[in-house]
Amino acid sequence: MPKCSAKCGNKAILKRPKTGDALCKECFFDAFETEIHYTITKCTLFKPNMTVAIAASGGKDSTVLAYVLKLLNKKYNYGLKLVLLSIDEGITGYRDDSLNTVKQNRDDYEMPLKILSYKDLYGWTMDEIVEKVGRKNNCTFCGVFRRQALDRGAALLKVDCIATGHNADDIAETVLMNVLRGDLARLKRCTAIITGNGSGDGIPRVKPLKYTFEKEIVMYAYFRKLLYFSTECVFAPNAYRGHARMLLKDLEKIDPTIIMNIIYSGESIRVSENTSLPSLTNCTNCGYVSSQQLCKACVLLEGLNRGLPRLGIGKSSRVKQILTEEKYNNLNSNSCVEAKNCLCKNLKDNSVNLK
Amino acid sequence: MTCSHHAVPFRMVGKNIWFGLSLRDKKKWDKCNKCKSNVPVIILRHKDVYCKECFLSGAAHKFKAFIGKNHLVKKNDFVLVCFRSGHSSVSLLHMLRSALDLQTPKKLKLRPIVIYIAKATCEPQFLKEIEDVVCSFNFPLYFISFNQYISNGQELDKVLFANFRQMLENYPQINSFKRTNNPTATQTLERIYEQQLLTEVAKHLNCSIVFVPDISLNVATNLLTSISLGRGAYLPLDTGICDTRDPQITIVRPLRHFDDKELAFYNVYNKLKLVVSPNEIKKFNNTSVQDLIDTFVSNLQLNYPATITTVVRTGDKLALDKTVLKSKACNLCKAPLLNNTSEELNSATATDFSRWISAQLQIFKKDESFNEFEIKQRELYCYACSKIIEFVEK
Repeated sequence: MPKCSAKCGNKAILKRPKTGDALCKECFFDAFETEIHYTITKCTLFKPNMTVAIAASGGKDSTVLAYVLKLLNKKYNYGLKLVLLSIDEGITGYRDDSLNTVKQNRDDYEMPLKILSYKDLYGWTMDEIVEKVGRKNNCTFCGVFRRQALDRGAALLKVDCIATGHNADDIAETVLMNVLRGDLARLKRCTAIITGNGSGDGIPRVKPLKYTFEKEIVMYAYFRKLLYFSTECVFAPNAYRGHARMLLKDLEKIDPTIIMNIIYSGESIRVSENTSLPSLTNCTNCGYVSSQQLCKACVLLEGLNRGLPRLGIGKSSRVKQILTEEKYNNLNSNSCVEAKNCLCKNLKDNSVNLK
Repeated sequence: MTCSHHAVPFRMVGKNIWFGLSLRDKKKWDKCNKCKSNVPVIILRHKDVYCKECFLSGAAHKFKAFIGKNHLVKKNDFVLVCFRSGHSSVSLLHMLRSALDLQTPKKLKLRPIVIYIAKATCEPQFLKEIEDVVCSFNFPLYFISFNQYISNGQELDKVLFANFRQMLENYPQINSFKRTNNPTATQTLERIYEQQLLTEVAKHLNCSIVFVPDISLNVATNLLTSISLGRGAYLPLDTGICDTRDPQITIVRPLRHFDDKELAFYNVYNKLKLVVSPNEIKKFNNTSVQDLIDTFVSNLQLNYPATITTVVRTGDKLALDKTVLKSKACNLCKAPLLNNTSEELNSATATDFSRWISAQLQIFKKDESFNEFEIKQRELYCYACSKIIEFVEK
């Protein structure tokens, strides 16, 4: 083994995929933590006296994030109050086990933990949803619901921001996926390290591990002997994201620094001025920030509750059409006028052409 | 990179097009989508069917509309047309000839000059075929050897030939294009030099426009490749409608919204002869980013038929950052350099920091401050080219 690049005199134990440097265990810990510290200070992710919720799944990313944030908070006096926030999607064989890991983290790192479940928030567990939707497109439900669930949890805990464990690989994968799907609006914002702080009343989300390689996170967790849960979600293999992930893994084999290239590309892409992007408004049903009149979560939930589980999958214009048609039908028959919560009442636009 | 691994035209004409379709689809598709009367002969985008006449006029219109809508050429401009092996170039020449010969006000007014860039070994038989096909359209033709351009590019007069026999007489036996030991860097360099060659030849021949026969698959592949190499800011140049990085010469990709099936059928119905280089059937072993992405896009396209068009249309909607328009150009790719402001952290600076901290951890530990770390400004090469150049210098 070569000597440590940091000139400490020790033998190196690993080669960093990002730069090719060889480091010993202690220097790797220091370099790894200092990089995250640099990212946090350079991008001003936190301000003193903030309460920060760490979105904890029990996986490697969130475990390392919780560990490093606690360590840096103490070492550099960030003055943060850290709490753990977990979402129980209700996936048997995956989330039930990983939540035990989160509970262990709560005790090890002495942070309060709040768990919110899909069952309580939406009345459906992922297991039940998959039963209705099938194995395809189920990640759409889980992703949409979790995003909102984290916000609701953060509001309950009255935190100032949410820190998520998205790493460099995740961001690069998202850039590729948004290009493949042609999602310009998301392509534009997916590389931002802080989101949700500008417009809307959402709670800001930060990604302190944005420039940290997944491989290094795994090595860090391994050498620090951190306890984490490492099973892939049982429903994930069919997701479209998998294609982008596969491409990224193959590219990484050619040259691991391609991950940083892709993030650099994502950061420097500019959308043409004469392209119209959807503007963010608030959902007319639940008030949550959305690009459509009705947010995705409301549409998906409505679909589930009405036995039309595929309602929100695909074009949003179709949803609007179905719901408006129904609204008119209902106006004639008075069937759901009494029902207070009917989604169609919150649909403002009547301009959809009815045949 | 030229791509012609779908070179064989599909012999799917007449009633055979219904093969494998359900009865319902047959009913929906028994009339041409456009004229609503004739029997269709081709399905495009997996859903729209056209008769022969509507398909051909549609293709011709798409080409002319692309050139007209984007205000690409001025009247009587000389246009350098890059010829490559495969369907696309033959279609391009035919579309140009048809548009030039129109007797209506929509007649295209430009003067094409065709160029073929010979790479690696060249079969005289194949060069003869090129000569025949270009002559049949009555366009002037030049040959240039890529290797000769690399070794003797300053004197274009000596390496540009109107006749392929002259080129072969002077053809160098040695390969003067130095390949790096990195397949991705080699292919990237080849692309950059090829573009440079086209720009210089265009200037030499008094052309202001270059047409390259990139089809949608090429554009999609190049777009994802550029992203993977860190050229995101330059996507409008690398893969957009036109490349304006040279102040005098604009490189245009007029076939960017055509796919290989469309052009194969275009050639078959126009009874055009296909010109394919015997050397150009590639074997992909996926050791370079370019090859890997080419395979990936083609495979994804099979399961998600909108993939290529989505990626190409995404590319259409990107623009160059206005703040860099006046910046110095990269010494290799000639794209304007991005300013690396010290206020915002980006992926390049984060990587530089990782490199710094991995070597200077002891310095940092003294006072725990980042003052010693300097944010690097890339003055000579852009982010992507600075990585490529490392391989060249090795």
